[in-house]
Amino acid sequence: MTERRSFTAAPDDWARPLAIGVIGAALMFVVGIRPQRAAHPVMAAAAADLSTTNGLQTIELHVPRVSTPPRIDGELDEPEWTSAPGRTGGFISADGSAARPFSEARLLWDEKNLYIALFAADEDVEVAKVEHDGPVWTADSFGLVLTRSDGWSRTIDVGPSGTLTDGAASPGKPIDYTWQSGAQVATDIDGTRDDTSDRDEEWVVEMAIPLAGLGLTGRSGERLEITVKRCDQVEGKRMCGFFGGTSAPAVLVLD
Amino acid sequence: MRARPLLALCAAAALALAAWAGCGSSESTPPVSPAVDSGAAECPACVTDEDCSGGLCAQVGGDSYCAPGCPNGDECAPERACVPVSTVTGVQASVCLPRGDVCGVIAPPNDAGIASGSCGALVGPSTKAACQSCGTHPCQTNGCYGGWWCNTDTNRCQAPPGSCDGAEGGAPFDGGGPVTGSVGANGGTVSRLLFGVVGDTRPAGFNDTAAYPTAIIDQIYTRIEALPARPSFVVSTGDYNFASTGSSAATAQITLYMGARAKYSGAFFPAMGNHECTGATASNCGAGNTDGITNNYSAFLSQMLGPIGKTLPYYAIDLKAADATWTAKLVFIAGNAWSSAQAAWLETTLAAPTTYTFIVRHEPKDTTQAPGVSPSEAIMAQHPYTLALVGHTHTYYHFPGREVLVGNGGAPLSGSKNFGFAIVSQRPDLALQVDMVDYASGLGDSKFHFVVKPDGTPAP
Repeated sequence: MTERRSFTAAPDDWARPLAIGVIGAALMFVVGIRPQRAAHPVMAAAAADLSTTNGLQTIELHVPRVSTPPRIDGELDEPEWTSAPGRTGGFISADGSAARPFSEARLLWDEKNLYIALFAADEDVEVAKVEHDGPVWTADSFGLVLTRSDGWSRTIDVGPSGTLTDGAASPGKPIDYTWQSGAQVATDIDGTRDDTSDRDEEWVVEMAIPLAGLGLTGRSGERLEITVKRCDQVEGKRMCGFFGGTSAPAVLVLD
Repeated sequence: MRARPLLALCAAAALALAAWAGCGSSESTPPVSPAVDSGAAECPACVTDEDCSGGLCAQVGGDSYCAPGCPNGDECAPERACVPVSTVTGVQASVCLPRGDVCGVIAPPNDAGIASGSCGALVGPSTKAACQSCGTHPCQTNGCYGGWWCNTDTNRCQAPPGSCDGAEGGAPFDGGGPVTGSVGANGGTVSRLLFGVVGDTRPAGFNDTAAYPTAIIDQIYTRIEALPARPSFVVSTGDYNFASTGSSAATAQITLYMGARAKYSGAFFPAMGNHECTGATASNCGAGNTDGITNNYSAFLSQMLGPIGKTLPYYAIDLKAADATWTAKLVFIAGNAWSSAQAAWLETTLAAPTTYTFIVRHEPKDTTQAPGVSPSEAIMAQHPYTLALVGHTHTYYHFPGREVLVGNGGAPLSGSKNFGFAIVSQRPDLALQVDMVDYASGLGDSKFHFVVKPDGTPAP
């Protein structure tokens, strides 16, 4: 069975969430509120990368510019996705071996958006029962962290149903989930979600993320550190795969 | 396993009391013959070689047992495997052990070829290495003999690894007996059943011919071809392409598949997968069906079934024994080209009596979205069959019952297991053992290994 979904998160700009975050944090401090959200799993890893990048060779993921944007429908059948996209290849596990189940990301860009296709082979597709900006990482999901050289980051977590949680972070500050990436998302599930009585094949996410929200101006040569993580529960074990991160930091480069 | 916990106690008691009576009674267990083909007393315990009437006292499974030697590797009776061991005096030797977990150690299953590849610093018999321990024995490529592996750190030989990364619970295979006879497009006559099962070989993305897993498929078929006892044929469980139906990508991808499959010189019988229709699990192709004749469907028919002269996506292949002791049929169901005509054909085909019936269909029985799964399961339930070989999910399992999933032929892996292929091998007692072989290491997965009778019920 193939199930497709799509939606668009409200757009926002780069500066606003900082102000909201600062104000929000101040308010929370005043009234004694502490965030109840679980710690963001990829953000922790990405933060660790910043201090360990020295001495490690950084992978440059060159992202080609396209003249015809892909249609965001969860189907990666446009030629741009297969001709020569920026391609992570199969993710690796923490010990450096090929991660299981298989996961991969492909990237394109144009003057408006960064396009990302995420592929997740999956025997049992599980969808977190959360709202937009909830902890989608509590079930099947990809976690994406894009970090500028000054340490400002954008986090985007997305699950098989297209539920998206996007946040903005800066060094020493909690993630501000009021930031909205404006990403348009569509997904395709090849299988049945939340049904353990059968076996599934895969799920795919196709996203268009406005460049402005990522701090990009659309100039060739612009760079962002990138970490993508995907975990899955397989035969009773939680198995994770990465592109970028502590052992093999990666930077996307707009060609 | 045989009373191993008592062995040490028994030996001590024998020494102290000069009597065996209370410990398994040597009086009722005659000394083992070097031929060891009686079936009784398969693993008589021993302390020294002198207890073994010409055989060797070998350390296996944490204890020591008598077994006949096999210095050349080909002296064992069919129900035994030649296994490298250490004797009680610490000498490297090879002995014939009963197949299966009989003596407290799992002897290699009956077929699929000598182990090769590597496992950390260990390299298998057919891999070149610098060990030098053959002496007067026939020397393997790695410089060891009797199936032992070479430790490249020390250049010393040692027993094969019990497991290795990439080959969960890995175990080497013995050579088994060669198969005589032949199988062609219309079936054939062979001395015994020995065939491979390969499944799901599509790339991860639509029209992604550049990322087609040719290297993996090539390695799988190269390894099947290289098995000392080459399988007579290979069946595949579907999904050879991932292409949009209006494109020509299916043709290009199936061309790559057939090129890699050509590394194996035997007969090849493919089943149709959902990606040979539209890609959707619920799709139904063929004249008069919802999705009609897609490019993917046409490419499958012309490029994969054309070489064996089949014009429909469902078909059967008949096989028989050279000595007329058994018959078999392979029944290929096209669950994504289901029709009343196929239902009638399946009913008639399964009604024909044969010793073995192997059903090959892409989707497992729980994938009921595929139009032909539930109707074909209903027909199957009315007839005897041995195994249902399926794919669709990109891993491998033996489900309770008769369904075996083999979907790890190169498509993006959805579970924790590696790429590989299954081998179905007929034993002298007509039982079939099924093994999964890792495509990289050539080792079998002992956690997957199982044996069934011709009716599909478990066999020891």
